[in-house]
Amino acid sequence: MLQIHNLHASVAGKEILKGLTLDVKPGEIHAIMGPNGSGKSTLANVLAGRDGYEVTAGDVLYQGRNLLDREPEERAGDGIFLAFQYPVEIPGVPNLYFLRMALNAQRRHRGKPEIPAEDFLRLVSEKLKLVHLEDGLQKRAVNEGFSGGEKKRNEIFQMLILEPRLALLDETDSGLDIDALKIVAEGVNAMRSPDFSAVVVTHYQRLLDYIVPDQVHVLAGGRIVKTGGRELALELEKCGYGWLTQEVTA
Amino acid sequence: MNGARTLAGWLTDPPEDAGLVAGAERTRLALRALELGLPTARDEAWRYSRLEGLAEEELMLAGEGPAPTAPQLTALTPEGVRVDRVVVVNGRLMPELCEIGPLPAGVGFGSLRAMARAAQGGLKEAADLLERLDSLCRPDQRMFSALNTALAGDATGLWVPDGVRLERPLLVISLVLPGADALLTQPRLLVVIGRESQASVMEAHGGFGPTPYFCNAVSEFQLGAGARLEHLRVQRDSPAGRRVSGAFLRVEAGAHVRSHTFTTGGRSVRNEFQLELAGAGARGEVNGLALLSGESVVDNHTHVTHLAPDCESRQTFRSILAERSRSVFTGRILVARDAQRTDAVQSFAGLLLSDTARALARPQLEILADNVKCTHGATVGSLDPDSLFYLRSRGIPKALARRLMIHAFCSDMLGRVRTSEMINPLDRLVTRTLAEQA
Amino acid sequence: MSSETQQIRELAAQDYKYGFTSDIESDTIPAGLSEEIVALISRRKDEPDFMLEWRLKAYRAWLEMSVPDWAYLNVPPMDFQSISYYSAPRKKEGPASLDEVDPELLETFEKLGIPLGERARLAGVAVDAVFDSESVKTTYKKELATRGIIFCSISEALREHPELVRRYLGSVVPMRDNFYAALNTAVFSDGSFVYIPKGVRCPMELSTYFRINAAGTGQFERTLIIADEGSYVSYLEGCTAPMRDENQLHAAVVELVALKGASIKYSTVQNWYPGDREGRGGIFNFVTKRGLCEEKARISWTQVETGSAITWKYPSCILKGDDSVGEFYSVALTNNHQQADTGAKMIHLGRNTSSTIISKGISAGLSQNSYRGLVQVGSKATGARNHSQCDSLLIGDRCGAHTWPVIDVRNPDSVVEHEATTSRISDDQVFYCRQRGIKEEDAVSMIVNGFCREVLAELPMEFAVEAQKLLGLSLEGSVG
Repeated sequence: MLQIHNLHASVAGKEILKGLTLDVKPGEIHAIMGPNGSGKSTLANVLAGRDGYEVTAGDVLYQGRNLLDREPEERAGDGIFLAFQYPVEIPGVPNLYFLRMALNAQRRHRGKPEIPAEDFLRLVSEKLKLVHLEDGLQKRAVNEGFSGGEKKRNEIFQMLILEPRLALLDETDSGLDIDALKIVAEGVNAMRSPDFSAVVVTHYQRLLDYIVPDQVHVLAGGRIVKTGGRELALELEKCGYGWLTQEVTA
Repeated sequence: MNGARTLAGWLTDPPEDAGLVAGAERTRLALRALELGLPTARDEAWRYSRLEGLAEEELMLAGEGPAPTAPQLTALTPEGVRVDRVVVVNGRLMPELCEIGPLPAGVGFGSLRAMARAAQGGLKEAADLLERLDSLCRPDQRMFSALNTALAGDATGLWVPDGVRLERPLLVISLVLPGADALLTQPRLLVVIGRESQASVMEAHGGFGPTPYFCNAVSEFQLGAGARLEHLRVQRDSPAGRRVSGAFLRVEAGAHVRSHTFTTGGRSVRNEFQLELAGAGARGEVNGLALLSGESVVDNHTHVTHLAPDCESRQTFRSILAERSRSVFTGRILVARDAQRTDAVQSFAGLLLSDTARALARPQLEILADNVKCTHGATVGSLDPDSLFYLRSRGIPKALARRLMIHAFCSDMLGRVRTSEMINPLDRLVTRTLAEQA
Repeated sequence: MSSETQQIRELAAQDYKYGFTSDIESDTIPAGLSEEIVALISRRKDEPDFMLEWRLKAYRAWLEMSVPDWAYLNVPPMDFQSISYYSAPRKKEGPASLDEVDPELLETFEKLGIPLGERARLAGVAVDAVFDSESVKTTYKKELATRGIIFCSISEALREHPELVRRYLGSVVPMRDNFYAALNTAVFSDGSFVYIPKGVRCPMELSTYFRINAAGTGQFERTLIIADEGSYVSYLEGCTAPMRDENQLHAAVVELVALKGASIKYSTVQNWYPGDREGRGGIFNFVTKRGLCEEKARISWTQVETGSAITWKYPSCILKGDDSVGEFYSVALTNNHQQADTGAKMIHLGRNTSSTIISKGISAGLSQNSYRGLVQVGSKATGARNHSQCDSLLIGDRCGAHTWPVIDVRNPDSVVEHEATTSRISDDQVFYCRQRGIKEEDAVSMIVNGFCREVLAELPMEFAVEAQKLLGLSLEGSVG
């Protein structure tokens, strides 16, 4: 699904990722953990194609083809979804209108016809229940006046509608109470299938109690310094990142 | 000195000892002032300042003034605050009234004429300070600046070298005491704050007596990188006094300036503010509170220019207008093409206390950069009847309730002052003025 | 700049869709302006004598006036003697039936999406089509007449209802009001006239489509709408012109009279030719629009301005009657070299009058976009309320957005509030949309439409859709 090899990336001339390598197979969920400033969000943004993130070396293959020369909307159309750490507000644009426009753009990209309005509405009400969001919220402007938790759940809701092949969750758990955290996890788990992979970037292991990862990676100093199973996350919870980062700098 | 003359008369043939600059330059500026001329009724930017007839009036050019009385001095001195002070009467420094304690090494505070002598004696700081005169107030385009430089008898100068923090606020008291004839006076202030230095300067202007006068004040402030300055200005003019006062501020990278003007009367007071945010990360705040009654007019003009990226500007103006007074606010924010990430806010609020008061607001934005956040707001209204009723229903008499609410309207402005020892005296000034006007 | 924005920037801007010219034989009088020309226009139109006198008075007043220069506009000097002040499609005796209208003319309006033919008439919208200086066809006239509604060209109104016209024409915009209004008064050739009788609610939208076709001409139309006591009307106006390298002058006057309890909703989608990407050609649009509200009356101006090389326009409401209401909703979008200086005036004279101003300015390319307005509360306007919101959005770093409101309050028992913001489309917003699969251009267009939502919501449905598309089209080539 996603193969990252020796990825180096800089932001404003400062190198953040320094040779990151990662292989995510179809159906797998990978967790990326690490201290602040280790490059977790940079990785998510590079994969989604955000401006200002310069790849200086290495390559990324998505479904066997070079990802890095694709435009952000092409990546989205190809099935990559980024759940933003800080979802932006777009005043005056109703959430549903936005979502339908996105869905149809992606469908066109895949050579599929636009979704009929009634099918779309049915899909919306079905998925809304999964994330426990009120109907009314969808008529409001994109993320405008949403609480922090509502914004994050709205990201998951969008993911459920757009049905990506690869989801990148950028600290989707931050600032969530335990109930909202469970809802986010349920949303991701509902997507699980042999064709769906996810990279879950998180600072805390508690999300991984609900989204059980196949692999856990520790990102420090722009590289993956340790890989393991679920138990690695628990170990990190107990001991912190200190012992790992020391290993790196040593 | 001979008798009263018109403005043009003084400019055509200035007396020997007038002027802050030497012969040829003074003549040039006097001619320039004549050339630019007084604004006419057709001049949109001056439509509301009552300067009509000024060109024809015979005025005495201020020189040595009478000694101020103790109540006059007290009226302009913040109570209970230790300050270093300079006293200027009719544009002339009164050395016997100045009280300047020991200042940190390199700091100069006092008469610009005295500094000119010191500069001739080889004092470099004095020469440096003098060199900055006229560098911000645009005497070639602004008639009142040319007039001031050409005819001002003296000026107050403040030089703060790099890396010096002044602990005590500095006070410049500037009195207008006209005799039998109408008076023309031009107080002048020049302040240079070095890099990473800090100071607080208050100008206290007052005009007394029934004789008309025209006071043309010019104050220039330059802040080096990282400097901090709080500028406070109190203007208490008599109902016969007309004033044009210009504050010209230039703020270099990372420096912050706060300027607050309190205007409490006068036949016509025009306050001009020119704020240039010239270095990245500079911050400037310009505030004005006017408490007016009778026939007073205040005409506030701001011109804030964002020249560099990442600068922040705030303008907050409030006018409380009783009887037949009126207030004009023309605020302009100009964002230059390179001033990306500008954050500029401008607000005016007018409180009309009578059927005959009038408020006019013209908040303007002129924006040429794209990554900016600029907002302006203006509201004009009267005291909220519901709040008034609420207070009265709790047993507070109507007049007191009104005063309470008016005071609340002002307190936001007092809250912006950071020189903490000045807040109480300013608060008392506001309270007293409101009581007088009630 | 990323490669894709580069690409988008290079994408040729879609050509002005309405830029074609029609090959119609026209009857154009010689260029220039004089008392003889004014008299000629009046004669051609078979006007009553009072009109000629009025026009000549306006012409003489105009000679004494100078071009206003206070706007934030760079207006090249205009030679008023090089313009032809009257051009009309050549015709036989007035087109009594559609068969007599030049088929080419019908086709022109078809191309503009305004079918005038009996079979294909716009459902529920009565249309008056003005081609250069002449009204060519008014639809649904008979249906409207059964309710006593008069909807016709102003020339016809002058012939059929001279007393009504005489009473109100120039009553809201006096001939000396400003340079362009004086010019219009002297030379106006046609325009629409509407009268809604007492208590009648006009059952359909009334609309006028203006089209400049002939080269070297100006368009000077005059619109007068009178809503009698307790009546209601919604009126739409649309404008297009061919692409020409020369600038053409459009100086219109619109007067609205809303009598006691009446309500007029006036919507404009202005899409005059804006000039090409280098700023060549385009319409100079100098318009005076003003409405008078009597007691409890309401006038609502809604405008979407995307066209014209220069726009100079300040729809106004004189809130004369107690409890009257004025509204102004505006979207002004400028791209390339366009310049717009537009806004509203609300003059509160009566007690408890209220007004709302919502203005959204969008600047892209090298354009300059200014909001200029006046809210005045007179000393007798106790209880007056105004709320103004002026927002500007900048796209690109070579355009300008400016706001020049004036607030003048002379009554203590009134509340006037003005808020304004200027910002730009954030990179974060655009990236968020693109990550969801939406193309950059579509994202910008969507964000702009969102920014304008409050205003677009005020437009009648058919117009709102058109306006949204227009915003998207006008933005093309601006992203980057």
